[in-house]
Amino acid sequence: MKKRILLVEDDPHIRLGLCDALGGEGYDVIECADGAQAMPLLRQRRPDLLVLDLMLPHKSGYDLCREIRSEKNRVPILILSAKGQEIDKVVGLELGADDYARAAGPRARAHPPRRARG
Amino acid sequence: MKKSLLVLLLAVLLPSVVLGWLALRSAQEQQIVLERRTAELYQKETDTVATAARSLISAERRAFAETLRQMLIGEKPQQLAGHFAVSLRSTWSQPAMGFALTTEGMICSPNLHDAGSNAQVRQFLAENGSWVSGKAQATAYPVPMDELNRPEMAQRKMTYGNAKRQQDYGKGDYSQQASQSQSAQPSKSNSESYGNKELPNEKQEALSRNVAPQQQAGTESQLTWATADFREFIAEGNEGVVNRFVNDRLNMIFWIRPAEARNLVFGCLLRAEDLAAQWPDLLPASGDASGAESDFILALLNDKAQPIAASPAGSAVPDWKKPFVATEIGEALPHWEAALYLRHPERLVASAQKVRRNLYLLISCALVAIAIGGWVVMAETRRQLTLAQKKTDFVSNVSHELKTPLTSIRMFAELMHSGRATAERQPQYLRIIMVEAERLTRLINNVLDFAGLERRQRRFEKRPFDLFEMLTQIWSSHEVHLHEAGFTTNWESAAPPYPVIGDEDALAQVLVNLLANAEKYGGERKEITLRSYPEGAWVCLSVLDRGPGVPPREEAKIFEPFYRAHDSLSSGIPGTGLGLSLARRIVQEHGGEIFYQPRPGGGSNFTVRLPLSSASSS
Repeated sequence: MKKRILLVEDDPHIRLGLCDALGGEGYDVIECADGAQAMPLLRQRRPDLLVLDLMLPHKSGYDLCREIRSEKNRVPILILSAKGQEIDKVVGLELGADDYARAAGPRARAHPPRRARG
Repeated sequence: MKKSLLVLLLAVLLPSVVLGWLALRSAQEQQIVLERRTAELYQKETDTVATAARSLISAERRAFAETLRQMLIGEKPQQLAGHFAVSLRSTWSQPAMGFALTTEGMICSPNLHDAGSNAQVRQFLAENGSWVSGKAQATAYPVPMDELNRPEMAQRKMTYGNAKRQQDYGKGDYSQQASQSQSAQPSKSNSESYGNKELPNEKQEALSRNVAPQQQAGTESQLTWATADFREFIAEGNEGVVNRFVNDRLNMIFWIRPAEARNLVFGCLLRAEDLAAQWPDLLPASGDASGAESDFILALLNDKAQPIAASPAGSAVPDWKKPFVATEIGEALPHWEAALYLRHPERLVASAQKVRRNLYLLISCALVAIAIGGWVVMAETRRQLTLAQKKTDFVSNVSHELKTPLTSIRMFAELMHSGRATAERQPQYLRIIMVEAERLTRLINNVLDFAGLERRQRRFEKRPFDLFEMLTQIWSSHEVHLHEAGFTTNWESAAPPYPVIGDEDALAQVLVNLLANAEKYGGERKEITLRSYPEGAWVCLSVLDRGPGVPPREEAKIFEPFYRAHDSLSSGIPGTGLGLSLARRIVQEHGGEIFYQPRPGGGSNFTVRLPLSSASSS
């Protein structure tokens, strides 16, 4: 059975590229462009990984992160953002994200979750 | 910001307010100071009158002494004593009642024989007979000889008199309180002559003055009095004056123990009303040489606080008991006062108010200036801080804005390079790479152009061209991209051409920025309209969308550098806050204007107006 990834990214081009890349790797990718639409999708589709952009319309990645963890949802979260400052990473990880990848880093790819989740 | 506010508050505003408060307090005290100074000035007037009154009594006493001396030249004291009352009446001009007695208290003159024929004698014997002969005690005011003989002593300050007196009496009989009266008071001679050993029933409490001067704190009298028989009053010394009230009338008793016969005492009783004709002479002539009316009224008040002389004569005041300042004349005329009344008391108040008003005005002006200066400094600081914050946001925005297209370009290039891009996806990837590269170029151009304009380094290469052609080019290249992004587009154009003189690239940048904004802030109803039409000597370009529009309070700010209406990175709308600012500068450099209007039915309407070249040349 294919692993399911929920990709929350507002930039259509990056979203398209990531969808194609992850799809090509054999994942079942669910796309979402809006922070507000992510929670319903998360509850309905129960993805194995959440790839999350920080700067999203209507609801930021931080807010989404906080909301997911407040619902005791343990889905691994990989933050993907052009923001590369240390403080952004710290805030994201503190809010419950599992790892952080820079969108414009040397190679934007999905790492396995840093911490094992039960 | 808070720190600078605190510094401003502590270093400027607080000291200013404290200084202002102190100045206001001082302003309020101006009236008191002015009144006090005026009081000090006028006190000298009443002191002079009091001194004159004492001099008058002294002169009368000396006249009596001289009369007696003359009488003793031709006659032995013992003989004179027998008919002294009659002789004095015929010798001395004053209607004084003479008397002579032995130190044992036997009255030699007047005698009962005199009394039978003279009512004045009968009255004297009835009222004073038993007292002078030592058979009865009465309250009387012994006049210190210093006061009579050396009137200038009266000018000494009360502090001296009070201190001396207390030291002498040792009982604190007299109030030390701040009566500013400079009236002559008994000092040494009094204490020596009438020390508490000498006089029984010595004064145990201070008497009250019968006037209440407005400018003097205490109303206690400084008079010395005692209750004793006449012999005790004359026990010390060889001459003197003792005053007493009989039936509310002031009786002045001059007495002398002549050197020729120390066992005899010659005296005379002079009533205050006997000197009535002389009281007006104690007061200065009213008015000055120029005939100007003086500012005050001087009056001599008797023991009932009734004016017995006034200068100017016949003056009336609302309340004789409330002078501005007054001086107690002393034991020479006990309970009499020299009083001064302001003719126009309101002038004093008005003068103080004027000083106070000027001070208030000065302080208010200073405080207002400080407040305005503080506000200006704060506003400028705030503006600078806001600008600094905007620039910080700008750096963050730009780095994000640069990274996003780079990410796309790199990602799609990698996908194609690694062979993971399917054949049908490849054209789409390439177009995305091109679009993102254009976006990157536009962004970099915006930043560089803005920096150039800021430093006034950018030069526009203006030349005549048809704006319509430029619009066609820009629109055709963007229309495809907008359609791909899900927008419906519409270009409503009036008939070309639109000849303008300007920098084609710069004006193209304006349109691209407006279209990029319309795309970014297009909202849910993805609909963009371009309108181009001439309007008189102008050509107008309007870019309209159906997005949320600009909040009313932000309409003026959106053209400011670095300002973003939907501020914050987390809004998800990319931008640097430079696009509209740059557009406005470019349009202004071309003699045009750019403005925002809310679009009827929702959305934004950004309009650029540029002068047509035919109009500008005509």
